[in-house]
Amino acid sequence: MNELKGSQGSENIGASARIWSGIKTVFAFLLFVVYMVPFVLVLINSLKQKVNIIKTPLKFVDEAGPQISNYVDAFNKMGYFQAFGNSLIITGCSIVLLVVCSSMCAYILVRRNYKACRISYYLLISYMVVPFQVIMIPVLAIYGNQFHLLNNRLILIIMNVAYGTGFATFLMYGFIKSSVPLALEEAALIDGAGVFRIYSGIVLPLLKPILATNMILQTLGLWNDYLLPSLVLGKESLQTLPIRIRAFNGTFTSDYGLMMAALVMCVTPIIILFIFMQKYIVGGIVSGAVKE
Amino acid sequence: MLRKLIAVLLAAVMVLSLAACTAPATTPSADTKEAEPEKEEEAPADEAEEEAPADEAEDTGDVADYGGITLTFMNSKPEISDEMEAIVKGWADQHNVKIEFYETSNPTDTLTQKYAAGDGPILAVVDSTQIVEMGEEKMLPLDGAEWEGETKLAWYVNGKLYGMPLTVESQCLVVNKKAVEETLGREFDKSQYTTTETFEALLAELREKGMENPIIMMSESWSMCGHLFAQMMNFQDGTAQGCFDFVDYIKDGGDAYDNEMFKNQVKIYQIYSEYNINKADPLAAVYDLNCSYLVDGEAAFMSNGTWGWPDLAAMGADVNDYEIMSHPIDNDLTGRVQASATKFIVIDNTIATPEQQEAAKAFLNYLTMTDEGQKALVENCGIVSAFSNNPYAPADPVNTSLAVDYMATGKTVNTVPFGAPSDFRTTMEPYIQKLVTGLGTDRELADALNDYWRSHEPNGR
Amino acid sequence: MYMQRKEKMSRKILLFLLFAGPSMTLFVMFVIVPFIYGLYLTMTNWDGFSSTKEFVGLQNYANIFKEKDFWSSIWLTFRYVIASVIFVNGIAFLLAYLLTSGIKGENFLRAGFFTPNLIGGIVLGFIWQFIFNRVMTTLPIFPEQSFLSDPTKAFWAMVIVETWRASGYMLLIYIAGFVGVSPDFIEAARIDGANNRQILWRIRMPLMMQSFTICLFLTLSSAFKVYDMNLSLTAGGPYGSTRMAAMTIFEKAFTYHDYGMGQSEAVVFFLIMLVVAVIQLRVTSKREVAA
Repeated sequence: MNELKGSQGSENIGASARIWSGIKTVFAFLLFVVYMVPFVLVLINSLKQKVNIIKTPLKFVDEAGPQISNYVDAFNKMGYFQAFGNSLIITGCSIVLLVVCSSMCAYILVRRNYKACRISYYLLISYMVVPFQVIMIPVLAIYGNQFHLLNNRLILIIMNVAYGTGFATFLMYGFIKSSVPLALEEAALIDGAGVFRIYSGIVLPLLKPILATNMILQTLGLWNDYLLPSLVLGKESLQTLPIRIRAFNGTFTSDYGLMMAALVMCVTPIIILFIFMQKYIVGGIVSGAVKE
Repeated sequence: MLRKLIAVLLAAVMVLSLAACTAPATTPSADTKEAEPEKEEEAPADEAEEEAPADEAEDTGDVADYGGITLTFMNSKPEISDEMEAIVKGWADQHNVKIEFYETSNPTDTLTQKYAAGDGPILAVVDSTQIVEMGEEKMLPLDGAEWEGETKLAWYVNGKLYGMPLTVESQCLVVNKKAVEETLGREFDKSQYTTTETFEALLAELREKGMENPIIMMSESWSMCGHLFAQMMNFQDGTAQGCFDFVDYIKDGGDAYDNEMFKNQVKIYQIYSEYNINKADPLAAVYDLNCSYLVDGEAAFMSNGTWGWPDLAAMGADVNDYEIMSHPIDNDLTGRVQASATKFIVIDNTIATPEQQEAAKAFLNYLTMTDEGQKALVENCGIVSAFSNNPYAPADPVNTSLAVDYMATGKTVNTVPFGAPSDFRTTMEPYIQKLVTGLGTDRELADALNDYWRSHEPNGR
Repeated sequence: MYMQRKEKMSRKILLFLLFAGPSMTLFVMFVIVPFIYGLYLTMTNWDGFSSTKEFVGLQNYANIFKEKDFWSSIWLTFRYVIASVIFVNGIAFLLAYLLTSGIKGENFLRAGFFTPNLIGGIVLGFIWQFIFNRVMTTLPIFPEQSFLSDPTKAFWAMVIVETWRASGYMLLIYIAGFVGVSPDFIEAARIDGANNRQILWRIRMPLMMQSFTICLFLTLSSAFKVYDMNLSLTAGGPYGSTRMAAMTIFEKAFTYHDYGMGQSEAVVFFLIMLVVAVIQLRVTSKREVAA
């Protein structure tokens, strides 16, 4: 991380440069405050009665004091532990599979110029502009109506891998192309190592930063995913946090207090994860997305 | 001991055979290898449950036992979801049925997805729209049901019965009577204010006496552009035929602009806009804030419907202060409210086994023909029953007002089975919104309406 | 180089299956096969739920040319994409510049700007609707009328929300670009007498062109596909002025039960997006400079 800082450090000479740097700091923090406003609003309103959320959204504390009841109600109504467990299992398994499969896939796509590799690469990239709804009904018709595979966590995990492959491979492809030196692999080849040995022994360890980046970006996406899980997991006992949160949006009115409390409870684990993994995200993207 | 063992074994065999023949419907994952761990978890539970009712049945002999089958239940009326779930599960426990309950606020999309996946709900609470569109294809005809004779509001398609009416609702004005009377300083008798002229005079008087904007017009499209505008066809003469005649009049080259009820409706929009508490920003009104305006007495009339009571109660509304009232109508139907069955329960006919359909039918009978079911529906869910044999009266003032002031005296309008296609509202929405905000004219609205009906066919003919 | 070595066909197949097999099998099963089935459905008049459908050939595609709603929503989506791409990338680039210039609390700020990505689409829209309708209207610095009741402002409200959500993500990629430029180049330029602005425009930006390629591609594709936020923030209003392409298409397919037609429009929309994305990738990739 340290090398990321101060790349313009040599510019900071003299008083005017210091003032300029001060202005930049203030500006960055001002923008930061603006970015945080919605979160603050969610947090303070999650502790209020419904009436007061609507009437005085800007007041910091409910006139009757902080209302923990929103959290308790939301916790019980959404079956938090079960939903959390489902989210954890589904996200965790999907991520591991996804990262393993797509790193291998990206490796072969970069290192071999087969026709199949080129076609695969273009297909994976094109999928990134396909809205899921375009294939939604066909997917349901084939895997639900024909093969009766829905209502099952495993199938959702497999689908997550299928739909995440495009983006994951795209990121890894760029990284391998730019940051994994071919010379190392050639040396190993001369020593008689097989392709799989080269991949697992030499390439994979070098992929750590981009694996971490991938894991985190995909975790964010999967943890919040609503549409696909809602289609696949019909049974309440299998459902994930975002599906349960939607239950607080009625036809006519939203239960804002419960919704915001539920949102806080859904997002907090991810924020904690993010804080711990933050340096890997930036690090991974730094070395991954950009050619050197 | 031996007897018990045999019972368990028999139960297990039964479960397995049921699982085999109902696999697509209830345990779609049962035939996939991946699901095996789950299945094992479920099986012992089945056996345990299996045993108890079997013994019970021997004792009592009159409670039907459906052998642990599973029914999926889709509820599209989220405001009573908890209550509905409790009723269904209570019934299911008595009859050895397992329920998978889920809710949706968009039944069309959910049903489309579920049917596409071959996993349609065995029991579903739906709108008439879905019955019209999918009924013949997907739903079980219920002709000859025990309850058929007890209601006139069941939903038929081409002479066949598909939907059991769950509730009667009215799109109307919800009135904070106390606020009106306190402002006016006298008794409020709604029957005096049923025309646009008299109602507008009332609003002017309220404004003069300090209630600046007595009307709450909601910004939600389903209300402002859906319910409120539908009135202009429903109140042509109050019959389905009247609606069809109006459509034909347009198709034959007639101009909606010259129609009396159209003029009436435009007048309603104008009055409501003028006295709207959300006048400054009519399209950004917030539902819950609107409810609080009514409860706090800042406004007195909310253009909504009888389903809105729970939201008012949540704001602390007093049971004694509220009633409903008709929108101002100038023709013979003045003083009447639109009221119809708005939600229906249907049974699947695509994947449901005969056993599941039997159980589902039994549940409908329970809701309509047994004292326990009737009572639970009206008192727990707080709805107005569509059945003449249901002796229970709704508990909340808004539904009571509908039942006593309007239904009992026959002052209702119901244009079933007329219906506009599902793109009607989105097509008309921009023109209605522009009329309300003053950016468009009634002429433009009439033109849009003319264009629409000249290129579309109404449902229900 | 060993890449160019002659390999036997059987070995090629084995290697491809070993490495790309798992990913590509799933991809073909859950993306390609359904997509092809979807293509078949565009040639039917299927309503989305019936067990019967008729084959109508290319009739749906021919009809698309007459669909005024569809084309106006495509045009609107284009304008939205252009505005979002400019704002998301402009702000992300500016922030990346600030957050690599050695100011205090860089790591903290990077994490902060990224957090909006933690909220999913539908909920995101509800929360911002609440902010536009209930919070901003009560603040004296904003007009009394909600942004969401005016067609132009509602459009910009969507751009604001998208910018808020996506810029933190792109920020990270731009930061990567900034630090990827070797300090040696900067030093060399400085010695040659270049000022800060010249260094930014002539040295940094060309050298971090790959960041632009990726960010533009990601922002383009996500802005084109906007649906959840559209639905929960504006619901297409006011006056039907913010009905983006995805919303128009899905409504036709699912709500109006014209699945064949809706799916055809989706295919055409997909092709348009693909063309734009390919052009963008070509143009920006060409300008990438090897460092």
